[in-house]
Amino acid sequence: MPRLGLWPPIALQVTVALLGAAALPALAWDAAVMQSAARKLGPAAVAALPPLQALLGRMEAADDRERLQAVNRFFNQRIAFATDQSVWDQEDYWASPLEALAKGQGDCEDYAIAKYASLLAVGVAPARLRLVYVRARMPAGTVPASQAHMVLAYHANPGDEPLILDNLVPEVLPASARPDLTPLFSFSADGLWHGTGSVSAGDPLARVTRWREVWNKTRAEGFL
Amino acid sequence: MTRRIMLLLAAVLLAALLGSLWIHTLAARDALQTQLELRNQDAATALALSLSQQDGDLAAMETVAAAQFDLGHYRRLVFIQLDGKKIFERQHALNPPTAPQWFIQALPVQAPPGRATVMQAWRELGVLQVESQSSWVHDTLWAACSRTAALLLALAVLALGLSVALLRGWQRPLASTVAQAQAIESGRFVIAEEPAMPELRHLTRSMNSMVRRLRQLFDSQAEQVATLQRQAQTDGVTGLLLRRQFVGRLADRLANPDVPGSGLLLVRLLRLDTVNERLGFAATDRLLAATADVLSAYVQRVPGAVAGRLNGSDFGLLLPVTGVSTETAHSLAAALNASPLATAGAVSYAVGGVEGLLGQSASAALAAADLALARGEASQCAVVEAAGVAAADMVGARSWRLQITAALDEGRVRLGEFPVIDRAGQLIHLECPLRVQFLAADGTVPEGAGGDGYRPAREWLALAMRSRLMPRVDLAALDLALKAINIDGVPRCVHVAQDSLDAPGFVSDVVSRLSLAQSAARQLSIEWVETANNASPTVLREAANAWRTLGVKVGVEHAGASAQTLTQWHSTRVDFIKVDARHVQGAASDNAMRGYAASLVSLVHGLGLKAIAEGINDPADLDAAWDLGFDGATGPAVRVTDSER
Repeated sequence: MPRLGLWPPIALQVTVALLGAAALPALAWDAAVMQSAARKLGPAAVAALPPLQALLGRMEAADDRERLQAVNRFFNQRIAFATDQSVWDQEDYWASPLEALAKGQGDCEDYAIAKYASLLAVGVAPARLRLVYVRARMPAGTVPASQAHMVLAYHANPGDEPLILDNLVPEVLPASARPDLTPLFSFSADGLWHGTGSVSAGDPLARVTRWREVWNKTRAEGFL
Repeated sequence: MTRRIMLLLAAVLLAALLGSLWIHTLAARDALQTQLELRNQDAATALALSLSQQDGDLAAMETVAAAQFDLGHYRRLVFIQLDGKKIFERQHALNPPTAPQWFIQALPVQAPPGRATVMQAWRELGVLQVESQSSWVHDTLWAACSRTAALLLALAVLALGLSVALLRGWQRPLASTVAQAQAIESGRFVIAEEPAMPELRHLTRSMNSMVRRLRQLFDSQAEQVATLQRQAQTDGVTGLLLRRQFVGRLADRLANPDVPGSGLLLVRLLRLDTVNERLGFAATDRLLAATADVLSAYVQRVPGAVAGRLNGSDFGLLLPVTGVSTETAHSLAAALNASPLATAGAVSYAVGGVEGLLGQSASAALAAADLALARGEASQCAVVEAAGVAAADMVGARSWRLQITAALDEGRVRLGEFPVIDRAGQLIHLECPLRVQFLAADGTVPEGAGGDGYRPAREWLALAMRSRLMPRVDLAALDLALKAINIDGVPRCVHVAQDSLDAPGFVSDVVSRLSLAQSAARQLSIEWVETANNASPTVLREAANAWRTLGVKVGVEHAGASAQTLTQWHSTRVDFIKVDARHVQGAASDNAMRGYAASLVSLVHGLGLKAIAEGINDPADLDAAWDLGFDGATGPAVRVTDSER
């Protein structure tokens, strides 16, 4: 399967126009790399790959709203919520998209990361996407009443009210429609590493944060 | 070589020191830079997190940021709104670094500012940038760099010291090996001590075994020469000297004024032809050998006595003292005639001789003895006659001493000049024996055949020796030779006597004279007689060393009597060997002579020395000398072809 970068120039121009930032690297995904990464993770990952690739292929030509809806729905359906303790037998584990799909289970940041990587792969501008730490107020009667949570936010323009992609509420809704979430802090792949865009995998800095770790893992799975 | 190794070592150590210092400092710089970058980023993230909790209240945000900035180690903190407007900024001048400026410029530290997004609810407010103080990086680097440099320098000095010690240890065996090699080159054979270093030990062992083989080679050659000498000088049947040798010894003895007088006896085996016919060849040889044994008994008993076979039937016996000849002749005759064959009347002997020989020529002495023998033969008994007194006016020893001393004091001495030439006929040097003027009894210069009274050494040398005048005589000759060289630049050769060499202070007296005429000294040769080696080898070595250092060539004259003695000269370090006339004269006609002379020459050449033939009085012998490989020759038949002389 060809990469997006090899598609006819018209499609590329459209993509660049959509992004509005020509300085950003061309984003795409690599089916062959994904395939070999999935083989390493086991038969479950290989089985989960065709639907994912079909989705990504479909979404390359779609607009952002359509992409958000489809990607959000895809991962909310494929991954069942479970704690890191039960899935990975660890207090806190940030899984890559293929790892989460292979398990079919994951917690809030696994959803957010998988959606984030997929949207970037199909061509959504990185500046519009942010991963947000939020406090989620749980339905009445639940204990505890609120808990730490992570969602993916989409800003059509900087400073605008974002659309929220979440696993608690399956629909993509504007932030104002989510009174149960209180944002605490947000970051993005480019935001954290502004000014050090050429950080290589061998750089000792690249391996010191949990975010950077999962991001490298994701890129190695073919989400470029 | 050692110094070059040291320099190389120091350079390598310095390069290693600088290299490791540079790598170490770069690594430290990179680590510190990374730390600074992490710190910037962590501080920005933490502060952005705090500011995001202020719900967009800019005043509260600035207060929180100011508090963080004022209490922390920051250089710059700035908050920029999404529209690019700078909301607030804090700056703090760089703390002045303690590291020198060149160091800071050589190692720039560039850590990008930390960035983090500040939010109000779901909206992004802006970006926070944080830069930490970085002057401490250079200070830390500088301190670490200085410490490391000091440590590495100490290590380098230690390593250099160790290497120097090791090299010193290696230098000694190396030097001894080199010395051995140089000794071999200059013809001395030294056995070196085997060093502990394996490579050098192998080398030294091989060189030692080579030296031993060479030595063996020389020894066997010397032995061969000795055999050849016996064959050349002695009669095969009787083992006695041949006529030529016997006559030579006789002439030497008669010419030596130091000997009071000699006796010469001749023994003749009468009618040898008839005896030969009757007894046969083998028995005759045995008879001749038995006769020789009787003579040899005297040679062994009387020191200085010489026996020889003069021709088929004649034998000669030279007695070193006078007054015993008659008695000896009678006992000889008795002993010979007591043999079984003689008592049976098969053979008979005649004995005759002369007594009190001094100063005559050998042939005159032989003729006189022959006459006596003839008389003895006629009278059937041993006849010994007294020889006429030889030297014309032999004065007393005391008067000789006075004459020589006076001549030396008044400078009535001069040098004879006899050329020594090389193969091309060019002059090697002039042999310069001293002539001393003797005055007549009335103190006037004598006239007539003797000329102006200057007499050759042959006439007064023994008296000078007995009077212990030799050091003065030799120094006088040396002075004259140096003076003459200064005038005409022609190389000259003077003789020193063994007595002079043994005299205390003589060697250094010569050295001080040579030092005063250094350019002349380089044209001078000094020689001594071969027998000098028996007396004082240490003195000879010292003399040769001291004089050769000043450019003088040192040689041995009248050499060749024994091959063993000849091989000893390589340790004394002389330059040339003059082979005595008796080993050279007749070389043209006598094969045995030639064989011995050739072996002498090859032995001398093997020692790395020059061989010069003495006493060449026959042009045929001169040609023979060149054929034999002599490097030089002297004697009556020698003429310099160079027109300058």
